[in-house]
Amino acid sequence: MNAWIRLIGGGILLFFMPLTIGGIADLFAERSGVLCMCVEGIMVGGAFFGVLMIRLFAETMGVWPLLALSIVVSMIAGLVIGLLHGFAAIHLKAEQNISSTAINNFVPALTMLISKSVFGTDNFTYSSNKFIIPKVPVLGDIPVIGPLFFQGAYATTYIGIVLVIILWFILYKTRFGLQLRSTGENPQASDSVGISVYQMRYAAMAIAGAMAGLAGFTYILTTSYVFMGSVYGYGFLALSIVSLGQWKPSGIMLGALLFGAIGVISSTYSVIPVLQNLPIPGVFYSMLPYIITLIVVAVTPNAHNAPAVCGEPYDKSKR
Amino acid sequence: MLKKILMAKRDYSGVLSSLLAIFIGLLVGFLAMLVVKPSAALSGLRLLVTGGFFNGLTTFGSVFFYATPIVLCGLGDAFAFKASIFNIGGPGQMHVGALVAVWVTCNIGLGAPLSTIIGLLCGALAGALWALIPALLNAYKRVNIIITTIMMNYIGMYLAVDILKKSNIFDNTKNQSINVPRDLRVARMGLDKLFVGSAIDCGFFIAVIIAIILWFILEKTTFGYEIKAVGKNRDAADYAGIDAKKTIVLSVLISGALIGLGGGFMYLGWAGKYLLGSNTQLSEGFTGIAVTMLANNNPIACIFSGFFLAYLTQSGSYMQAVGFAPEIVKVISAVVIYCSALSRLVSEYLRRKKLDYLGREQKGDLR
Repeated sequence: MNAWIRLIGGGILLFFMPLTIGGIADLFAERSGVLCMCVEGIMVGGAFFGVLMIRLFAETMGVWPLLALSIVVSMIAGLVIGLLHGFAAIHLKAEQNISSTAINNFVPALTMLISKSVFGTDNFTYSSNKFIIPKVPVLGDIPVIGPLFFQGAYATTYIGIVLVIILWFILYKTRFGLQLRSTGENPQASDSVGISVYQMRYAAMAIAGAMAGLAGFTYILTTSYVFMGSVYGYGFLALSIVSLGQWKPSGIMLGALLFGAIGVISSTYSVIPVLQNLPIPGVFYSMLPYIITLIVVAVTPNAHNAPAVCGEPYDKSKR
Repeated sequence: MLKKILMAKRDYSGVLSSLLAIFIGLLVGFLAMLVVKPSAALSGLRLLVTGGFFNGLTTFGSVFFYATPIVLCGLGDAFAFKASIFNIGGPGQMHVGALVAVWVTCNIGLGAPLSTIIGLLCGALAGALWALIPALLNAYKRVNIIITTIMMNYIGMYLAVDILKKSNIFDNTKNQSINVPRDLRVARMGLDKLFVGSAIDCGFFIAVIIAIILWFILEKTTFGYEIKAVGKNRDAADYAGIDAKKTIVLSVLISGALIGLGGGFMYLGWAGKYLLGSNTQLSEGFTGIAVTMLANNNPIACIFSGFFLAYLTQSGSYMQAVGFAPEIVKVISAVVIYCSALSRLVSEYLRRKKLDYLGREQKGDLR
């Protein structure tokens, strides 16, 4: 029983965490009024530079300093890429869909270029088992919840949970968060009371980039052992979760839970006897997350909760 | 010099921003090479510029072959883009189109030219079909087409690979599609006599004809006007009596058809390209976006920008020799897309500059 809880529950947690972090990243960007379709690209960047550190320093560094280094590097990489999009979207008033697409194409190509130059192949492996915490003392002994959350989970999962709580607090309980959200609703009004719209949006993109970078790193570290220049569309899944969750952290987490379950079915159907015996071809399970995303975005009602000016460059002279 | 260009009757600001985008793209490519391997960066850059003639006309002829799918893909993207629809489902539409085109051509058994023609048309149809769901969702529910097309890319890739593996056009030992019989490939019309040993076929010239037709549709017909009106402002067009939903669906379907056709040309050609049995997306579908961005969504200009990017891709395939991955070309084309996103800034600057010149001239008149 415990083994099953760990397989299914732990699996859901693996997909849940990067999707939640990615969703929160996009939430920050969109709440400030910047359309960030490039979460996918930023995630690839964070994932690449994070696991690159693990690959390069696996022998020379201790386990926890190495993890800390990789997380910081992946967040910095994400931040830089996020600001690249921010620069185009905020200062240069670019078409944000296009600059996002540019980022989504640029980052994977760059990672492939570096990986081929460094390792000679377009993919490289890394080991992530040592970042698993076998059992948290005391908490791990609680029935059901223990094996679900506190046995054999990756350290990144806990870091992610803490960060999500902090970010929720920043966005909804601080002055900075209120100002940030105001620039996504009515930037002219924010400007008139002395809030710098540009500054707020850059701050939002910096946070969004760093978080998306971390999301990519978490995803690739925990669900794979080889990096092939892609996070397989999970950045876009995070985007669809944001609109499914009506631009609210609680909604995003619920959406991530749903997609986490789908992710588990899609990746472990071959070991789950019930699914294996169904007369459904295996390829269907591979396509499942993408099909569900399509259905979700199709049936999500038009959001009245969405930021009012998302995707519009700020024009001071407009009212 | 700048003044002369700006004061000309025709508007050259689009051309200027495209040239700027190419320049910045090559610059970033060069910088990336400097970072990766400084000693070989210069020879890498030289190879990038001259690689299209690496083996003389043989290589140059093959550039025509590689240009065909990405020109068609660029045309497709441009057509949807005119209606302000950002179809980035190129990889999926191309994959599905290519699979259907190759399968039909190999299995229909109607002899040399007819099988290929029907195969290509079926490929176009499949590409259009693959664009249908995102088109409907965008037209009727205003669902962001970037998310839906990306999802269709993944679904299309998994489905196409799975069907390929179960079909009779799959070579199990090589894990790729079979050799298309020589007489069923796209006709070469003696062009291989001119470019000996190259992969050239008549595909590029069909793409040119299609580009001209698209230009005609966009500039000289009611349908084209409707597309552009919807692209400028969907609600205003709807209010003015244009069926915006129908226009959007049609433009995306045509876009998908062109991209599917491009896929057909790529795998029914002479370059020895095979549909793979591994789960990889067709990156040519993304190159199409760079093609249309560089061309400012102008169908005629797509021919040149597509040819240019195909030339770079061909050069990129030789980059391994000096120690760089061919991905350098993808980096360049992504930078080109990024720069195109900034084209508003460039044209704004040029417009201001032009007004500046105009103002100065008028003052001169008064004196």
